[in-house]
Amino acid sequence: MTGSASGLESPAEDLLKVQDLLVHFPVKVPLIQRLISREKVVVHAVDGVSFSLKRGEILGLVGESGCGKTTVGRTIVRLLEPTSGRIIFEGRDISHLSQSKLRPLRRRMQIIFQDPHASLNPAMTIGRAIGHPLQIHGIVRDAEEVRQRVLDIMREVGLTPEDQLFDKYPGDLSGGQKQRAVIARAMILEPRLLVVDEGVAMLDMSVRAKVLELILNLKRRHGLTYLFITHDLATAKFLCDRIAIMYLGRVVELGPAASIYAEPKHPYTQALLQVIPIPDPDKRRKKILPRGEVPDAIHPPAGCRFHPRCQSVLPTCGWEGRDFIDLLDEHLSTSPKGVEGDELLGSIGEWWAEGFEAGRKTDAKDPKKLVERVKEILARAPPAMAQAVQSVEAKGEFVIVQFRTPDKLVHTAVADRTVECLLYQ
Amino acid sequence: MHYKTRRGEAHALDEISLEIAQGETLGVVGETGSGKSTLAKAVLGVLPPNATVSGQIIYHGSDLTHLNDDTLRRIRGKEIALIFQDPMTRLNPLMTIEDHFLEEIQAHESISVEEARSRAREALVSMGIHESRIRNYPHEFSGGMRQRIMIALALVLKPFLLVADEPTTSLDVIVESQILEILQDLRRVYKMSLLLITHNLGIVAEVCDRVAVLYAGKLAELGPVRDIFHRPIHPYTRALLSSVISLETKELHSIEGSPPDLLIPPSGCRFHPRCPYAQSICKENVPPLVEYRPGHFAACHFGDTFL
Repeated sequence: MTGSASGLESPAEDLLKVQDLLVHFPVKVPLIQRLISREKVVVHAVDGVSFSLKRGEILGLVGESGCGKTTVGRTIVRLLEPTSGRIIFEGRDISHLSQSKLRPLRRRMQIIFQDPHASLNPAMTIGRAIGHPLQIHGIVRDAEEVRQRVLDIMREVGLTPEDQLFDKYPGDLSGGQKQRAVIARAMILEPRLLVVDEGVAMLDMSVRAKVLELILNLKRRHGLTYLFITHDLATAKFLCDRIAIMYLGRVVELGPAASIYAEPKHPYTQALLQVIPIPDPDKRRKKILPRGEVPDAIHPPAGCRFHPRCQSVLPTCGWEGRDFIDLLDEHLSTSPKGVEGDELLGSIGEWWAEGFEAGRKTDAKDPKKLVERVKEILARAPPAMAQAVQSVEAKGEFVIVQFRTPDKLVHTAVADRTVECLLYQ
Repeated sequence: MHYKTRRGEAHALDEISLEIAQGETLGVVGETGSGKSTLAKAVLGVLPPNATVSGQIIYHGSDLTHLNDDTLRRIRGKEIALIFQDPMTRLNPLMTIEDHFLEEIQAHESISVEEARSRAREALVSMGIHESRIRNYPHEFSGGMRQRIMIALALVLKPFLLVADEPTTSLDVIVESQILEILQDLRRVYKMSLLLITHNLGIVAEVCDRVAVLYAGKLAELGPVRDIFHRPIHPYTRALLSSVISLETKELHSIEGSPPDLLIPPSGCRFHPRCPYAQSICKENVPPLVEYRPGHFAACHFGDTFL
């Protein structure tokens, strides 16, 4: 292939720049609900993500399912339309290019998905599938030349014996071979950027290594640039130059892979790293696990999105009304029935939370008692949360718990990376 | 254990002998198609009709393969429970979580609905799910919660043996850790035995007492977890261990070739076409399972040289 060492491309130049990328998906809500509440319900899949990719670099986008990493990958190659923000590929803003203008660019940016089986048409031979992009893009029209190019790329990705496999169907191939075919199909267009979305996750360990080696070899030979999307931190450590850790639509830490693994800064990164199983029975250890699960992205938590689960949380991290509701819910469901004062709290359904407030309408003659009880419960909350409470007051017929407004979170440069955490601001 | 298929008989499992003690966790590892899941299904007697089983599955002294369906049904669920990789294959989308529990409990025990309800709530709370959610439907829960519900369902009757087939594979790493911790706690509290089927050797190292390595339906190696990880004998086990990508990985290793077609398994040692140490004897004779150290078995003609 040609073009890898073309003099026009300076290696330091960013191949891809993503600035403040926002991708929101509308949620279907029933008509009645839409009429009652004017608020637009959207999933904040990607909520302000910025990073850049240098030529010849492998950037890992790492996070749990639902963090938005796949959405970032698909939006970059414009399978999805960004809600706002900019995607600059080879110096050109492609954020809102029309499909017809995108098509020639797609030659230069390809994406590979997790499931090789679903990515291949079962009724198309491997050879035809790999050669198909050449015909779609009108690059090669001569059938014999297509065949020759396909055989070349098959040999390069290790789909051998290539002349035998050429006429096979996907069903005849193993998982590893299918993934090689998918890589070959992407590579035949000689792309500059390859987005690999969980490209090895479905493969057995014994074949995974081979495909990773192929990815590295292709990079060396063609000067490829990769965005490697994965939930597997061990694979990302081995493969990537830099890593971006995502949580609920935000990049919380971004920096060189080696230093992130040596000394993770963000509490979420720290949590992720310590749960990776170590394949050595002598290294069993007690883990400190974050509480609960990733909250849903329709109403992401205020402030730092990780704050309800964070071990190092501060009073300024974004405590809000619903955190109090969660605390109360836990108290009511775990404390034995008939504890004095609990009858004042009522049932959890009688409480509401809105922004930094939580409250309840009370018909009690003496709302002060309820205020006292709420304060007692808050005293048993995590200290950071208790300190974030500005006031617990009776206002007319309501009892209101008011949290302070959180400090503004900004990406901060810490040593050789950027971290989005108040601990470092 | 053979499957009859349209292309002939597939030897999904071939002369596997395993024991699992009370309170023990036995890990079963191997590549896709090694027969791991078939083993789980065979233990529970839930294989598809085209499967034929020979040999015995002795549970508390009686052979499960000879029990009639009624007796087997009584044991299944109550004494031996199974959890799968994908919770949605076990949970009925049209039933509330409470209905699932009631069905399960009342199939095995004649207790009042009230009592069954309170046991259901208890089981759910023990998995960290709020009891107010018991009337919800499966789709109203996250993946991790569904998996915990499935575990709660499997454990509500306090089985002696839990067979877990890739119980955390579809989950995120943090939730995976949470689930594994729950399973270990239960094992300690109830002295439950756990047959853990997984392809993740990291998990095996963290939770198992003993490990069985399957290759193409044959038992390649079996032994205490420390021996398997620190002093593996079978070349397949060694290759499998070195292919693991962990945080300490500096270079990649893979196993050449791919697992064989079980309709036409290789002669002799089934691993010989991929084995770097294979000699002519490996093609000709099936290696016996030999005990090289106390409790540490391997099926390799050259086991002595790998000690």
